[in-house]
Amino acid sequence: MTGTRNPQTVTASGDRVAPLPEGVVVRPVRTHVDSRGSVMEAYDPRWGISAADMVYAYAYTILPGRAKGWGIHREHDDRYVLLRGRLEIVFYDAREEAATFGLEARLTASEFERAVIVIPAGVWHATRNIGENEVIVLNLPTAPYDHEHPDKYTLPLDSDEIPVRLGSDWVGY
Amino acid sequence: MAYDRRMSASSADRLILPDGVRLASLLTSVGPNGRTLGLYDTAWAAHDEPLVYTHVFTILPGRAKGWGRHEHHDDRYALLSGSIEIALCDMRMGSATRGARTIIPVHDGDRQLVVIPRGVWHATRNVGSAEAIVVDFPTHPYGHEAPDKYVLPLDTDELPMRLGPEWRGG
Repeated sequence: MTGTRNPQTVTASGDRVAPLPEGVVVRPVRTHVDSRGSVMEAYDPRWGISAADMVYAYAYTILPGRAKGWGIHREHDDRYVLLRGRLEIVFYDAREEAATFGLEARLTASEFERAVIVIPAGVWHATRNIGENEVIVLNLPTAPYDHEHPDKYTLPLDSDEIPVRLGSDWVGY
Repeated sequence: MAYDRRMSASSADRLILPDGVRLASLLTSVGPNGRTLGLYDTAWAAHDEPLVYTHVFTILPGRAKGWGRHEHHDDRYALLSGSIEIALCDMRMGSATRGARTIIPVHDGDRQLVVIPRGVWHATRNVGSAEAIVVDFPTHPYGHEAPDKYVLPLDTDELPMRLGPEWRGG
């Protein structure tokens, strides 16, 4: 029995090999730690990873063992920065005009490799806490939240309308 | 003499916020899978300058950061998690509240956005039992080569505000 040989998943420099939906950007951010605490530059327009201005900021948390999604935005991009915990993000690209239309991709965000993750409008996304503590994510969406008409469309995590099977570990209420 | 905010509750300087300091309540909503925590909306009237940059700082329990002061930008601290005190001391020439000094407590049961105007000395202490997380939206992007930041030690004699020994840095 030789088993199944692993395919390549990362380059020698640690970069991911698997494709991401067009327009998804993962830009590492550094955390500077000292005896008092830490500081992290979370987002700077000068990085050039997202053309839209900063207009709004909030954070969301996910309890251990819980998931949120599926969700999609028609008008605005999300810009996530994980602050605490370990988060699995699954994408499904529903943009017919995109080169990566139909692509499913999985990404993990954690304190080991903090990054800004840009999620373009038109890409379905679901998130799951895969750690032991509450996950905290800072989001800097490209449009302010519209309380009367939220730019958010949802499907259940086990929806048949998205050709991605998340599995029974994905539990949300 | 140590500055003691319990003693100073009756003193006038406790009641005067440095001119330009503003506080705004931040909303938290709780759902079955987690929480949503408001941090900043340019539609609010809390501040009239745009969002241009953000950094996140944390402070360990029992630790403090400061004193610090900026000449060109305001800080806009949004408490995300934990319990902190923000000490403020106004030494701005020409300020209507020059000499004002106060300590603002902020905790995650009543989260606040705190606007700290340019020129006002500030220090922050974690008074809770968990690492505190603050998201700052300064009005200028960080200048790496020449940071707009001037510092004094927490126990400085140069400010008319004495922080107690519980204000410990690194």
